[in-house]
Amino acid sequence: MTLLGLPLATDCDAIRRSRRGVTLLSGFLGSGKTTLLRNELDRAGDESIAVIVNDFCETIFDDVLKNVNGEHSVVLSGGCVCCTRRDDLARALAGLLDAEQRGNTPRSDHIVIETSGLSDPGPVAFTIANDPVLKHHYVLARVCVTVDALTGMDSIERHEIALRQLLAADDVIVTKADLVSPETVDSLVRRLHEFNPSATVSVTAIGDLLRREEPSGVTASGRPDIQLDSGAVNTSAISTLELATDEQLDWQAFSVWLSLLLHRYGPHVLRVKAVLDVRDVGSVALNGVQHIVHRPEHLTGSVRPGSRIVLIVNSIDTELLRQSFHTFLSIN
Amino acid sequence: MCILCYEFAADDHWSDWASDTELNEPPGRARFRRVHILSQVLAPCGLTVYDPGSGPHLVIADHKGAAEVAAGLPAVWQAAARLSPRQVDVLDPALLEKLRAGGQA
Repeated sequence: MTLLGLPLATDCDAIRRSRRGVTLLSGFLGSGKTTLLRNELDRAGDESIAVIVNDFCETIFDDVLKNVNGEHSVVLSGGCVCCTRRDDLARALAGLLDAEQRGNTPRSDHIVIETSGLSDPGPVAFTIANDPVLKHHYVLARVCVTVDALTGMDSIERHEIALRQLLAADDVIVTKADLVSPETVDSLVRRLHEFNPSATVSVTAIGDLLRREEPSGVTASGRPDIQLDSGAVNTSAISTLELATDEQLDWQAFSVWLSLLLHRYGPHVLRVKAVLDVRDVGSVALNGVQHIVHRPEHLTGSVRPGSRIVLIVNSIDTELLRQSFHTFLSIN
Repeated sequence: MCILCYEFAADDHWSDWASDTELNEPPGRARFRRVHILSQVLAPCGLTVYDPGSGPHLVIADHKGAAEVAAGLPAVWQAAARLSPRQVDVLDPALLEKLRAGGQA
């Protein structure tokens, strides 16, 4: 696997029959998405990886894509994939399927969608998870978000969309670490873990991985709210909460609780990530970007007993949320 | 659409992932459990839940006889919002108190 989770050429036989994984590559303007993608595609060395790129400036990407994987590339022009051109994204993905089935292109086993720097990852995840055709052929594998070591934290504190991208991330990739001091990088990594404790953070310089830090988790009491600068665009309070239980989970109680939470407070729930120990089933992973939750997946291998759920919420009383969770799980 | 009952197929919702087979339980056990929990959650809003036993549908009704058929949990919450003037709120301290007391409305 590469930084973006792209399968190496030798891995592809095993996944060829399953749904195509989609890696969503997001990150604020100028954070190094395209450079990273080019390096990663070279590293993966697999011709069956397709690339969909969306940006405000189509011509720039034409040149880039010719060097990357022109045969599979689809450029969506005219704005943001997530907010205004979501249908185009669905058409692009459907077009890839169509081209494959007509025999015009070889099968793509993995898709990378590079969004514009101003895109919200949530609607893209929604498109993939809910389109009646696409959901049978594609599955969102991971959301990777690039953060510029030089200007990344400033962007996150000033621009709501940069913060949303960070909170949606499974993997945060710090780019351009060679341009700042190691202390600055350490400080940035700590801040990134504070904002999104459920994400891994990889530090890179000139496309090379320097180090990788696993999700930090949060304290049992939940972390204090993050108050953004009063002069920033987003002045809301973002809180991170980890819910844990050592007992095996009652799936019906949990699903009723989470679905009601998302129904009532959907726009305020920015991230849901969980490893659940479900009674009579075993360990499953649950992943949600904003209020869009993907179908749970069985986990194999050794998993720590018990259930842990990380929620990143906006303007929700986390103590009340904790009480609510435990109350629903204790319904007899 | 189902060719027998002419109903549109329900969306494949994440909460329906665990079927009886998956949960290794007797047939209908998971469904019964869900209805039982929903009944307790909706009771403080004056709503009842009935399982007609076909497809993914549940019937949500108020005490005046108004009822809606809901397929899946999102539809249940939407139906509850239409049928009851009181909002079902997962963070409502009064609801949590009633659930702790055993769901007595």
